[in-house]
Amino acid sequence: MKLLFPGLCLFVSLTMWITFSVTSCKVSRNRLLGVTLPLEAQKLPEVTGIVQRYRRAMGVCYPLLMLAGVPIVLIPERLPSFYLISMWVWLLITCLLGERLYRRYNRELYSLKQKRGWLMGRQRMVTVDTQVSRMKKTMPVSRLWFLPSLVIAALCPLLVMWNNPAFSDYGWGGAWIPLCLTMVCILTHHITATRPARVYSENSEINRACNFLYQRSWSVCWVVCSLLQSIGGSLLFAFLFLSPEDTNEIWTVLPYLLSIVAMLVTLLYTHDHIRRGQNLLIAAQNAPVYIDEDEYWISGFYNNPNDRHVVVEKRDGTGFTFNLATFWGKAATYASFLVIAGVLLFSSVFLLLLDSRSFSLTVSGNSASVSAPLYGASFSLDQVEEVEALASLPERRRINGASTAAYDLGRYYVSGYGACTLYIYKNNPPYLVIRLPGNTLLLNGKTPEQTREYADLLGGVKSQP
Amino acid sequence: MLITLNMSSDIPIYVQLRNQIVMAIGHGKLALGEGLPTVRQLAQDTGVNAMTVNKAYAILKNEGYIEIDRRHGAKVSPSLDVTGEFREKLEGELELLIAESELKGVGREDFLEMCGRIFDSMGTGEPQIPSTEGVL
Repeated sequence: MKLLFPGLCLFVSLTMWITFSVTSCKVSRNRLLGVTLPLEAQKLPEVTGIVQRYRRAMGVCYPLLMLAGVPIVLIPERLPSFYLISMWVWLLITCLLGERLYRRYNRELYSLKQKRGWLMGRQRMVTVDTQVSRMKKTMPVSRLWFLPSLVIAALCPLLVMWNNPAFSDYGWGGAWIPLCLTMVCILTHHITATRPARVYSENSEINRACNFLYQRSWSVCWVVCSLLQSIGGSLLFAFLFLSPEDTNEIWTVLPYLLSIVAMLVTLLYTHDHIRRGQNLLIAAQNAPVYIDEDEYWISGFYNNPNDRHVVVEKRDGTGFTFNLATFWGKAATYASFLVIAGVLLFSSVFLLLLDSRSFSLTVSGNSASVSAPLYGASFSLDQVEEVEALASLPERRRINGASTAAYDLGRYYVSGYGACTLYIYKNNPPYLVIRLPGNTLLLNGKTPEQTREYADLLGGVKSQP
Repeated sequence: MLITLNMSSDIPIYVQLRNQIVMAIGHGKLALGEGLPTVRQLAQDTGVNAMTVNKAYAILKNEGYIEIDRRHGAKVSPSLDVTGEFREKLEGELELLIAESELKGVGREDFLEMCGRIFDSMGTGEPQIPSTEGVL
């Protein structure tokens, strides 16, 4: 976790830096910093001045933010909740600040545009090229190209259905992930394919070429991404479940990481390829059609009551967003925020509970119970088949739960014992292995004396390695 | 051919759509027999309700400007017949237009000059209007 979270946050902040300060500062379809401007205005000093000031501000702001995140890495691992909450807070501040900075210069440029009367075209006008509209269906690649990735992704649940005991614990959940992500790629392909045909020029050939470039490039991109994630995800699943005792985590996740990197490169390349191609086509003709939708984006979100589409392409960067003027757009946006907030809150509260509470074994009469946040267990002493004491912890891989420098809690795949529930304070032998019908617990106390007390409560250690 | 709809106009969308297609045929931007998008395609790209587009297409079909095929969508009629019904409608509308023009100070010569100019701008591929002798 020590490397994962800083890596994740660095990745997110770099992506935002690139999106906000690189892609939005380049002219794309007559837009600069999210504002539609006529060609002659794009090179004026007062416009380029705003862009340069924004770039400078980003160049100062983001490195400072990343430096501000460094102390978080120094938080001790035995306080994972504090570490995680600090990381989420830092990420939130980074995103909000980045967005605020962008919005400030976007509004400044928009005010300049209004002051100078550079309104492009007429608002509330919808323009359609009938020839492009007719041919739109033939532009993206067929959905049949997703078949290979569907077949590869479907192998994982098929393996689970063969009832391999290695998959018994949560293999079902993990097995469906590549298939679900493939369906997401298919859905994204559909959203791209049904995007309204755009008008760039009075020349239908230019419109056809620009729309074809967009539709064909993105449809191929989604097919490639689907294939990459299905291969990467299936390999990860296979490594995790076919050889669960192999705890060399780097080699296990490497194919998946490589597939993620390849997907990102594909997405960025596609976006840049379309932007360059369309800019060339638009610059080559002298009857451009300007569609000025700045007023619908002024709040930072897309809000166009004249547009019935729920999902629209993002203005800057890559991806899609929702139309807040539609019911489903609003619902999806608020639901997304709620889900993200829910996940952050849950994970923070869960770790706070883990950090603040300990796990312990209590015996009352013939019943024993282990109390631990979310992983409590109880059993009858008659069910105890064997109690073993280990001097050191075997190799293990986490299935779910928490693992910190101080403790392991949750379900783990333990070498020599299979899937077990762990309640372990690390570096604190001995460790008790309690075999029950259908389950095995690994448990110790905060001190060796406490562990020996647990062993006595359970009727003594029946065997030792 | 570009269709531009003014979403904040008082003129209904289906009327704007109908008028623009008719003008495009007249100006030669839509050739006889040329295909048009299907109702669904046009509705998706303009963001208007499919029933609005359907209404416009129905009017155009009734007026003889387009033909609709379930499989291939709509297309401009290969030939356009001028009917007596249209002449009556034209006379009625012209009467109103001419009355308004006179009241607003647009004289006969100005009006005829304007008409001539607009007729001239109807470009290549003029609709083949058969002789109307004997129709009435």
